[in-house]
Amino acid sequence: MIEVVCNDRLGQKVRVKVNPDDTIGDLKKVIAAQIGIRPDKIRLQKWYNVYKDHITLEDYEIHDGDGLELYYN
Amino acid sequence: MDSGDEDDHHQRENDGNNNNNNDEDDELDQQNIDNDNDDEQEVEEQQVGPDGKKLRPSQILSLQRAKTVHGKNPTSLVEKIVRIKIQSHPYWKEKCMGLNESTLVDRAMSLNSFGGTFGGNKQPTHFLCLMLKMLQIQPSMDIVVEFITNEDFKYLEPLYNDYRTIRLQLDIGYRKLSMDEFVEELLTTNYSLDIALPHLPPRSSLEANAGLEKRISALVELEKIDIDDLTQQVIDELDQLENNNNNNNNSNQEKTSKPKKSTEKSESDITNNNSNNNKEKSRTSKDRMDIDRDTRDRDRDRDYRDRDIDRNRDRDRDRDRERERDKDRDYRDRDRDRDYRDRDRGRDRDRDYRDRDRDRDYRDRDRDRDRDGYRDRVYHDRDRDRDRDRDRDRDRDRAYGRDRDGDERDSRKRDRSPVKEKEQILGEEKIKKKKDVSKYEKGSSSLSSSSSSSSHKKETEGKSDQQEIDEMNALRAKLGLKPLKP
Repeated sequence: MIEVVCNDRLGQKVRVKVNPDDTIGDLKKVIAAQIGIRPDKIRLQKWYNVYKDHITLEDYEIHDGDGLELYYN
Repeated sequence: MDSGDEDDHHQRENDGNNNNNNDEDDELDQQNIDNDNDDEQEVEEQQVGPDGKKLRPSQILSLQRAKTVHGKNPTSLVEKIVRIKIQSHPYWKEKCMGLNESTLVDRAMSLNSFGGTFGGNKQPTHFLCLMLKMLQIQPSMDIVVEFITNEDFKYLEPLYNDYRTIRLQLDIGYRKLSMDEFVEELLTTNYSLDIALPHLPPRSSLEANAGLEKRISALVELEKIDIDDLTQQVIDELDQLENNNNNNNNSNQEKTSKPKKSTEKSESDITNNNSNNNKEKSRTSKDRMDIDRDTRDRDRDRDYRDRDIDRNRDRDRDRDRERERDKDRDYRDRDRDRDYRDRDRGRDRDRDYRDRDRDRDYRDRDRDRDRDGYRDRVYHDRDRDRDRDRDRDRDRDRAYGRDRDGDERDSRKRDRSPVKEKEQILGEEKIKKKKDVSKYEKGSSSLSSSSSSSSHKKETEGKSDQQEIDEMNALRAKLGLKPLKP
């Protein structure tokens, strides 16, 4: 279990616990449930690297305590 | 591409068209006023605003289009973020300017797929651009009526009988589905293609209250099927599924989760079996494509990281830390001297500050000197006041950098003696204020309970860790995800 921090820099900052073998899509679902928005309206990225839904956190080398940028679309 | 589905969107919007003028509307582009073909009379009316004042020409232009449907501007049906994306899309700028009703239909005919938004950056499809365009130009009622009554353009429920396949553009690749599936989605769900659809009352309630006739499937009309037979068939199927379910709980869950009750629905299912197969096929090939791309991505990432890391710098820092201890003692002496001087100058406030953060200051100065030689210390003495703020900033930056380093250490397992590792953790513990504490609680609980007052820890104190995990697991269960591993 790892914990990632997702921050849109507009006042919404969520900490979520996830498994490393969860996909980004799963993470989006959890985040969406926490902030009350549709999962498909969320975009996670780091700089210009937009994370794709079907790839696991492990594969993106997201570790405990890492921060992701949260955008809406 | 059938332009019928375009019709149905706009029919929803034009249902109760009351032709009100919306004064506040300023979201329409100037360009699409060119193809305004409203009658003159309406324009005349709008020359004078509601308060009797003469309007500026620009205001008149924006008012010409300002009709509200159901009390709001129809373009606002498309969410703002999507709308902005559409309006900054090249297709909108190049191909959607100066369209009128008939040219828009031509454009729609030449589309080869439809969809909402696609790709990693969620760019809008051409279909969506045209749809927003149609919401903007607001075809007048008789044109809409013409579209609907026209045999070639169908409106919603007749499209249940339209089994032509259409291509839905997804994030990656396409999906094949048939017109009736899409229409079903439009009629029953409240969200489709990145657009929040206005609520449509379900047919059952309309039948009960508004005296709508019961819909009879075309298959029944053509006497291809018998409803009674079909219901029996569906019931049998359900029974069979239940039996299967008792035997092996895992397998058939997906099917039984949404039991088919209405005969109408199962009809469409039967007819759509064919397209479902196609769907499966296209999905697998798409997956393969993705995997290729992913591996490529990862390769690139690795290159990038390798370039990024300066091993020498890391080693230097280690050596620094060893030296640091010896130097601390020196500094204490020197600092006492400096304290005297401070008192002479009567800066009590500053001294307090330094007392509080003495640890941090030592380390900073230490590192600074290593890098910059003695210049730094002189600088410190000269205008310490101004320097302190900046120092603090720099310190924060460095803490961040260390943060990232720490993570990389985890992933790449550099060999390092355990003693040094512990030292490293100690140092990190002091510097890092934001880092997750739970990580260290595993190995060395005494460390984490030391003086570091992390804001994160404070948060977790209110809600115990276990409680938080339980909550998360409940949420995950609701979302259909596996529980968290310890």
